[in-house]
Amino acid sequence: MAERPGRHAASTKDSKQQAATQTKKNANKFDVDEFWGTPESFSRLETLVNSQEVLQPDQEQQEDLHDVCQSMQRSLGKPPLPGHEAAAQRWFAMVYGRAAFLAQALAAADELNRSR
Amino acid sequence: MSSSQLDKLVQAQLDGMATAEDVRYLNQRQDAWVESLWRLLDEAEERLRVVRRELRGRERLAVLADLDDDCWRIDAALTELVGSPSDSEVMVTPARPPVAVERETTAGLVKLNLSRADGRIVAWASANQRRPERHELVLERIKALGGVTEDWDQRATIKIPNSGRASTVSAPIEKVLGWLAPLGQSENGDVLGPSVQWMGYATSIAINLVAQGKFVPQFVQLKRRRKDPASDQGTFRVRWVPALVDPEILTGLVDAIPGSAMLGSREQEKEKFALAALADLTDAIVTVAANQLETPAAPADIINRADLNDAVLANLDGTTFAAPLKLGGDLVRRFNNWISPVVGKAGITLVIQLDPPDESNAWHVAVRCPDEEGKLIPVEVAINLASKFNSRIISAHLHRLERLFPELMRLGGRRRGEVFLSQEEAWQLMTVTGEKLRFAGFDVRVPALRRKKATASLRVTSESTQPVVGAQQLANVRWSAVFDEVELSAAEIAQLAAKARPLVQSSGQWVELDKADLAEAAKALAERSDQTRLSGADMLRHALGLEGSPLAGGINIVGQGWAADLLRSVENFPDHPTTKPAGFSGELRTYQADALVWLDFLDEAGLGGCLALDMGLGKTPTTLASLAVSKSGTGLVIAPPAVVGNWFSEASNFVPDLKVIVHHGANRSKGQALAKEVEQADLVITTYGTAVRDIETLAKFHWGKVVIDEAQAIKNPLAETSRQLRRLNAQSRLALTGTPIENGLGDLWAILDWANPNLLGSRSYFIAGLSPTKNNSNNGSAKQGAQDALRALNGILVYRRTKAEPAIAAELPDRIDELDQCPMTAEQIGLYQAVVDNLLRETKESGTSQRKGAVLAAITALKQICNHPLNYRFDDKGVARRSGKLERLYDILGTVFAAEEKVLIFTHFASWGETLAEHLTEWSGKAISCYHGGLARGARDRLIAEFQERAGAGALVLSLKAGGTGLNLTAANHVVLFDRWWNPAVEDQARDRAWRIGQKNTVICHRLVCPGTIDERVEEVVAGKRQIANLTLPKSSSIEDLNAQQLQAVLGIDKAALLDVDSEIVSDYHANPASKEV
Repeated sequence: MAERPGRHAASTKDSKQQAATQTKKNANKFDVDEFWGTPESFSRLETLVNSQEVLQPDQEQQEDLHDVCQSMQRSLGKPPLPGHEAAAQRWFAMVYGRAAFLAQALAAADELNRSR
Repeated sequence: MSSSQLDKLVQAQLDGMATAEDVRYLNQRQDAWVESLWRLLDEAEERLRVVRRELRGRERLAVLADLDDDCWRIDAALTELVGSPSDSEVMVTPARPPVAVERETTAGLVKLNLSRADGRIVAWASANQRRPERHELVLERIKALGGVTEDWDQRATIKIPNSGRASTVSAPIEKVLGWLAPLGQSENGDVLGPSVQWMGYATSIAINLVAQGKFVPQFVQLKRRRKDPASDQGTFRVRWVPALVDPEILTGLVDAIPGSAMLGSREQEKEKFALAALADLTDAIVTVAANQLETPAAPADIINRADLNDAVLANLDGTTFAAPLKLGGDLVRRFNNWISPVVGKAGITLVIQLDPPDESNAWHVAVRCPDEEGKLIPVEVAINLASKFNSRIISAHLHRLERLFPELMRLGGRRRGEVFLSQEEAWQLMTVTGEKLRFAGFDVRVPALRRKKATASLRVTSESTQPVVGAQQLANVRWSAVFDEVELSAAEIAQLAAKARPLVQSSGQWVELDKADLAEAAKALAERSDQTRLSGADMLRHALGLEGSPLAGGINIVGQGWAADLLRSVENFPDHPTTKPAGFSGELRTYQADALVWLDFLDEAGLGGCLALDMGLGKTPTTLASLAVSKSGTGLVIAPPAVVGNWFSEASNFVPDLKVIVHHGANRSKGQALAKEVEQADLVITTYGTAVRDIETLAKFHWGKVVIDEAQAIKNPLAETSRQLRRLNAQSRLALTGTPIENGLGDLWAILDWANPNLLGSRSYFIAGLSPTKNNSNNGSAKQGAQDALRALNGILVYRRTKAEPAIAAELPDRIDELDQCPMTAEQIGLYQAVVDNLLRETKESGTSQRKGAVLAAITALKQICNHPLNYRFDDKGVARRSGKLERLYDILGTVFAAEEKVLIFTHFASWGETLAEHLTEWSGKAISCYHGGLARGARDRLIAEFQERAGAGALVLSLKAGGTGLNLTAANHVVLFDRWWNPAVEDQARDRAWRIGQKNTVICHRLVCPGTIDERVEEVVAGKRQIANLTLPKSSSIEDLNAQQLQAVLGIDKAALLDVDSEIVSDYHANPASKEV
């Protein structure tokens, strides 16, 4: 019985095709660890993620944070919506505030899940 | 048969249409069958590729699913014929770059994997050389990890290298954000592939970027459809993308990407893939948030720029909309220009450096930029030196910075990006503005600051030139205010108070002083400006808080002199003192060793103190250890009669080398004889009554240390005992009590004023100084005030430790047994002697059987008398002050109630139990019941339930017979065995009502015995020192054979051991506590 050459490999119908396939194989050798990954590859990333500043302000700090997290967008100046700059800044501020709140909730849930 | 004919036959077999003959034919030609299957698979996969590439519209998914199913069926048939894929099968995923090294591989464990495509998370389950799982099983895996399977849709298969074709399911990212985030650091490595972990980490990073506002809106055009290439309309949307992603984090993310995570992705480079994944995740979080806002309505048609702007603001949640290509394309460009300085990975980071103020109190701030070598140079120089491209980037960042921190644009700086700030502006930069700049991606370097409010206190600097002077020696002092570690004079305070924002540097950190604190400090210093000379005692009182302090941090004493030296030495107590001091036979517990250090400190300082260890924590051995190491002369211990015996026996155990004498009783030495005894003794033990009676003699000696046990006996300073004991002349005085503040701060003052006459000022001054006020941090309750007072004095004049402290509890045994010797009153002695005399008389005249009955009756009578005359026979003289055991019980209850704890009191005379409960209720003001066999079952259950459940202090009297077994009374942690029983097991059972599972505290068991009586003989039996038979007990067969002399020896009073308690009953001490000061 013919040995199964691999479903996704080139067909083994003729030797020329086999030789071409072999050349391609050599050029693209498959590294199992590279593809599937290893738990060890996360050690540095884990350290970096854990050292990130976790922003989980209390009620009093919430208002300050709402203001502070607009800084990136404010530093860019007026949004490029001529005639609508003020409205845009107002709406952007609301999106930033709501997004920061949601992100804090997700971070808190993440923390909670990890601590379980 | 030709290949095409064979392929048709094989296809028929796959479709279930082949006949039995066809199958037989194929089985005879398996090699050809396999070849044919491979051809069919190649064709099916090619069809799948074409459809995936070209087919659009509603039918796309259905066709893809059909073709995918074809592939699966062929693959299954192949597997059946040739087995699972092997190492020989090699495949390259399109997303994976070629690698040089091929490693030896083995089949892995099938795990869940995640990749991303088209704004969706794609899930599949496989492993190296393992057949991927069907989508149903993939969903099971997602469900097992807490995912919601309804969010996931079946999707076309994808090829997995070495493993075949995998079923996939996918979900919109915004639906699975909460599920993804914890997967990064999940410990389910056996079911989660690294691609899942990677996606989890990426999600955590995106969440943090959004939380910090590090994202910006981008306006993007979606791909145009081929069907209407001529249309002038395009599809647009707002997409939220990450900004200034930390390069280090991004590198960590890129380095960790497994190829499996990139499967099916358009991005071939890892960094692009990582940024695209972060962008997808960021967009998902922000659009979910934006969707919660009620944005303005979008215009029906977009005709001009204003309409387009309205549409943008109406669709901040990422909703797509059609707009004219020209207008939309223009806005796409303008948005890209607007966000270009910050979008994506962070590049050049500007540094804002704030230097501490110069002499003119101006703060210099400068913006710097790293040059090519990383060295920080002024930003203006950097703009000039950098390449055109970098120069533009640096300028853009500087513009951003100036928008957030406009002070930089103020005229007067040496160069652009440098300016001087006022103290107020500097503080703003250190606190509010600095934080904003950090969030905007700048590196802000400001002097360290402390946000915590500085604690203000007053400081007295003693400038004595004679360091070793006494408590009453006057010394020059200087007053100042201290804010944390910063000392300020009155002039400096005035200068700071004038500033808008008073900043000082404390321990290298800048801290803002509270203006109200400055005003209080200025006022306090002004009030004390004329106090330039203080005595050591004055300073000590200030340090202890007895003189009050307007500032939260109190008053501390530094410099030279008696008080400063004394307070310094308290701070230098050793951390781990010896637990085996010289002359002490045994080992002290840690807190006892600490107490010994404190006692040594008192001796050296010539101070008196109060050792206030909780009941059961070992005040006696600790004091004995101190007496053993003390070189100051003979010690005198004054104790209630009930514990004199205990002192003597513990001295024999723990300090056997000390010569100890008990000074008590009618035959005690007096005059010269006593003087000689004292001279030769190391320790004299006496009772309060004897000490008062012999005070004229005892006051003539110079004692090394005078110790009063159960020091609450002197809490009334006007009482005779208190007044007389003040006359004792000693190097140092020590008061022992478990309840230093039984009724109020006045108790503590009385004890400490005895220990240190006149040091603490008057009683009212002391109470006023330590009482809670509205300004104090506590709630002003008397109890809180007492605790604060003990805390203030602890370690200097008081050494207080309680069983409630975890460190103490950890060191304690779970049970402490104490033997309390309770001398009989004169009335008890008289009754006792009468019963013995009567017995001797009766037994002399009666026959054997009568003798036995008389002896048994006498034993019962004697035990009753030891308890209380009322237990022996009824009279109307009342209960109080007639029994030594009752006096001791008062002591125990006082301590237990002060600690808000509960006690069980056992007696085997039920009627006496009732009398006792009634009397103790009256005495204490608390409802104290008696549990005995005469009560109905329901009443008994109620008693137990009430006792267990009622909060606070309490007591319950129980008859030994009814309450000794079966009950669970763990609410109590004190047990008193009021009378003794021959069988120790019965007593153990009684004690075990409290000392059992569920008990959280150390149980202290007191056994009360009258020395020199039948009680003591029972104790000897229980302790195993005598055999019951030797004592002619009720079960003895020889009881009737004892002659009068033997009976006298067994039951009669041992006069040498007898202590008369009458004179020891201090009139105010055992008064009804319910009527006392609260």
